[in-house]
Amino acid sequence: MAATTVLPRPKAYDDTFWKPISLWLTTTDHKLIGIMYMVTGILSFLIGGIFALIVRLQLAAPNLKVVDAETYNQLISAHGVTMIFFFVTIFLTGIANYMVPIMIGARDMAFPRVNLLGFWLVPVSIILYYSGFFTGGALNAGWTGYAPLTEKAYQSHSLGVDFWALSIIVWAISGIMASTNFLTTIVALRAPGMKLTRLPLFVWAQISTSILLLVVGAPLAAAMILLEFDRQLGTQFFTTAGRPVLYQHLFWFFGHPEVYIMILPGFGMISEVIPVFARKPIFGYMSMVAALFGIVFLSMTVWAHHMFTVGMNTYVEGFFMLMTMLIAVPTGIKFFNWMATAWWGSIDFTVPMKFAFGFLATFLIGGITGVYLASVPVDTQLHQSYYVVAHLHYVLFGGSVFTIFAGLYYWFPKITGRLLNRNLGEWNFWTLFIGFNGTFLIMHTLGLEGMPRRIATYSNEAWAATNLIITVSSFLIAFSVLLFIINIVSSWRGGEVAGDDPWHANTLEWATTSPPPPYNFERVPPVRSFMPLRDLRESGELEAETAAQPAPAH
Amino acid sequence: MAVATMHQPQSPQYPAIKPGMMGMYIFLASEVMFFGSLFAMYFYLFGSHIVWPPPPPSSTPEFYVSWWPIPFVNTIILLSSGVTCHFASDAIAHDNRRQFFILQIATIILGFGFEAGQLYEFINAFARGLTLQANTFASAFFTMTGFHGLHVLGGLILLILILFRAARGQFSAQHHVGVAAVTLYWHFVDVVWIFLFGILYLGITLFR
Repeated sequence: MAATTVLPRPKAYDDTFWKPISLWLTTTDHKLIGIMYMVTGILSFLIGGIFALIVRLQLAAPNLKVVDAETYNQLISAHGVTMIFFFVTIFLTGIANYMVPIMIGARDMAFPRVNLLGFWLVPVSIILYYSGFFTGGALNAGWTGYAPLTEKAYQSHSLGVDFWALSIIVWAISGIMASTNFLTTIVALRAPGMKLTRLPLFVWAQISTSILLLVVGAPLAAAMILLEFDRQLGTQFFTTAGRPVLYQHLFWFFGHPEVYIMILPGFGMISEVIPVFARKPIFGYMSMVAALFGIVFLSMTVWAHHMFTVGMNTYVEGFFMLMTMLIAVPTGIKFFNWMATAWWGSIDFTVPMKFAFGFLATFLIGGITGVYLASVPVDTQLHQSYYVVAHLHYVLFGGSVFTIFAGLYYWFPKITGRLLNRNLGEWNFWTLFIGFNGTFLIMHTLGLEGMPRRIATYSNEAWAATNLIITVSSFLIAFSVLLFIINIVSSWRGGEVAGDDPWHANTLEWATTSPPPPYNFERVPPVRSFMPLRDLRESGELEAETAAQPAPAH
Repeated sequence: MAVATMHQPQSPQYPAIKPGMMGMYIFLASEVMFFGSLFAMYFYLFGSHIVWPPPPPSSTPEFYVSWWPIPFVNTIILLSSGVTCHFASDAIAHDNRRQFFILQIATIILGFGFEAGQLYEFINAFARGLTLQANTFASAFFTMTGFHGLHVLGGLILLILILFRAARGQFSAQHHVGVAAVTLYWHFVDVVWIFLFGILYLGITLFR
């Protein structure tokens, strides 16, 4: 193709944020739905964070009485449910909803109206869950809601458990819709030349996430339906007359893959961010994809490692211990590939890259404590202690949340057309990194000393100083999130204009304008490898390709 | 230049599988997992009880639902509805609209026949005390067959929707993804019933 003919830019389109509310309510545009998913996710993050802060205030010193034990139980349950179901998963679905169609050169998702319905089920689910607070108390049995504690015999006074179960059923249906849509879109709507072997790693990560959610979403819904039948129709599945451990099997068959549903898109974002800012191609593209599918397979064979203390057969425990430790292999492959990508690269320490490195550092600790906890004898000792709390926050906060920040700082210019403020970003990163480690690193020692989790207070004076440090650090995290919100709002209103490709990135979304037009591409650029933009830049065709895209309004 | 555009190579049909059909296959994967978890629940209960199903009350020895006659007839009905459904979809693919309407209506009637049989069995069972609360087997039995019945009902709604769309002339030999996808769903519902019939009916009455 002749690269010299620079086409005139077509008619500008409306890219303002303040669209009519009727448009936001009825749009089937994957980008607007993606933004709504992300905003919902961030609002949930703030709400879940407030729950966590109240919990930390309660635990700041021994024998405090900031909230009573019942409220405390509702707060930790709400914190878990909000962060896992309504923040991380929803936010990641949103960013994938925005980016996946653009990255594969499609105009929209395969089923735009299913996409619309899938999104609007999320607020329904969230409202259902919080309704519990106004009807005599929300779920108070932890985010896992173990039966028979959630059965009618022990929870007859409030509708909190029912609202939670219904909310999770709606959430699962929404997730199944989104997964079906993603998989169909990626298989059927790729641009010419975008072979499967040329998909960006974020898209591969979304494929594996969607497969996982598709497979485990239905068992979650089944568990919640059976629990709800127990409570409302008087069946005997998980009651003391039935088999309570069956609930744990069904729940964790969802619950463990859910951990990977929350981290695999993060892995994908890191696999996009590190090559761009190290100015090197990703190391071992094929092994990265293979590792993703290794994780998908293994994650469905490890669920009972959450149940080592319920008294299973020793050989069964041995099997789950072995499979759990095996997950360290594909994860390790990914980890070494990221390090090899950055190795001897010409590293540009932008904010997204800092968050990516922060992720590597914290996720490593989470991964190592994970291998410790996989061991049956160790887990039997540490199961109900703060060691587990520390571990799960290192993989979920140090893992998922750091990748979310990395992805958001990376893609914010594409979504809004404006760069996030770099100074605020640096402050955001360092306060978050210090606050996070201050909060969760010493929780390991608390756990080893035997402080039990999910207990409203404690009387051991020896734990007082550590807990105070944790509480102070958790407020540093809150301060950091506040900086982040200020940064988002102020940069969206009047940040530095980003241009089409501020980072000199590799993938297709940077070939269109920022923000992209409703139809994404005037003309999809040719795809000749898994880094189409880098190819165009090196062959000198990029100018002509970006000039073919429409000009934004401002 | 004009000559060059005339010799554009014929691009292959892309994508090879229609998105609508693809979406149905992927959705059915999650349905397989849903019924899979119900079956897993059943076998967990089966394996963790010494006597399965739990012994019926001595006053009603014929407590559990027998495979004969209604469930067996229902099986025949549902499987033949699968056959009619398949040939209905085949007919629209060959633009044979008359045959499509006859077979589609036959499918819908057979489907409602199955639902009626299920309802009759349920009412009979409730009358002799076999309810959801009776014991763990009864809980599992009604949940599994009940959810299958709901899926049949959903399938019937889809089939009727397809019938109306076809009456409006929205399908042809080239465009019948909707018909094909609903047919696929109906076959899935059939297959689930074969497992339910084999395990919940034959498994506890004939093969004991």
